[in-house]
Amino acid sequence: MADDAVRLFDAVLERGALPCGLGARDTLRLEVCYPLHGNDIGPDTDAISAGLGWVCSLDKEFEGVDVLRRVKDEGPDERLVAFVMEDKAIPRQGMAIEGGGEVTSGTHSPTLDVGIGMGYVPAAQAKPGTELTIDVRGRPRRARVVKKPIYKRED
Amino acid sequence: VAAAESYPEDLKYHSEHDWARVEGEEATLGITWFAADALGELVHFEAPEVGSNVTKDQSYGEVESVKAVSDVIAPLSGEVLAVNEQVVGAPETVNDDPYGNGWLIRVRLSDPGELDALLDAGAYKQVLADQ
Repeated sequence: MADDAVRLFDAVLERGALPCGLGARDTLRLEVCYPLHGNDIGPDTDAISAGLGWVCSLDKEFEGVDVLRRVKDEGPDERLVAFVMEDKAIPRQGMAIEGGGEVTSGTHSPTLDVGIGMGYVPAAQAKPGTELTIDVRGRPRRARVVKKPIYKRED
Repeated sequence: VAAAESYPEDLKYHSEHDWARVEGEEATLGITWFAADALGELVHFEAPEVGSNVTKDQSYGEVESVKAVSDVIAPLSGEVLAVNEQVVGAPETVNDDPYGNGWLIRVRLSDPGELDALLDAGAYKQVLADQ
């Protein structure tokens, strides 16, 4: 049975299929700015700061709604932004953003052939067009906040 | 198209998967087919500055694929004479031609005696076989 699986996979490849796994999927979801749980959102983040207020009905009652209402009323301290590298470098999860903030997802975009990522920055730095400096293993590298999604296919 | 596996006989190798083509007091350095294949298609080469010095067994740059970053280890010490701008602009050149157009830097050797510590193609292939 297991042998059949290998033979089947090889046969599909021979007919021109390309192997495509999690790495490929991760570049695609980041190009369109889908947040990944564990990277961009999680127990320490909230939906408003992450830009996911549109999926929350704050007029309903549910666990945590008070916090979300407060963040929405007061405005989030940090926002999850998308950015594109201006310098040649590939941002990676965990890299510090100058001025406070951190890269939560980063990769090389195969479609745009440039480093892209998402991360939390102080709300004042969240506007598209804002220049960011990312610490790429000790080297300061410039990036620019862009409107989400980073990439949208033209039909 | 990625190159087929090969380890040319005329090169010297470092066990961290780097090669050196020595010509007099100068050498051209790069990464082996094995290293390029393990990383996958390269999308970035963080190159050293021309005029800086590289030290044998220490990192002089980084190569990155979409999934991974790897230090590039200098097989020999010397001053950087040139950086392969073709690879900076099109890093996948390393996958296509690791020992030719995919060279990384050219150095003037500071200690040609270090050559004795490098491996020939047969010894490097043994390193790969033992992994």
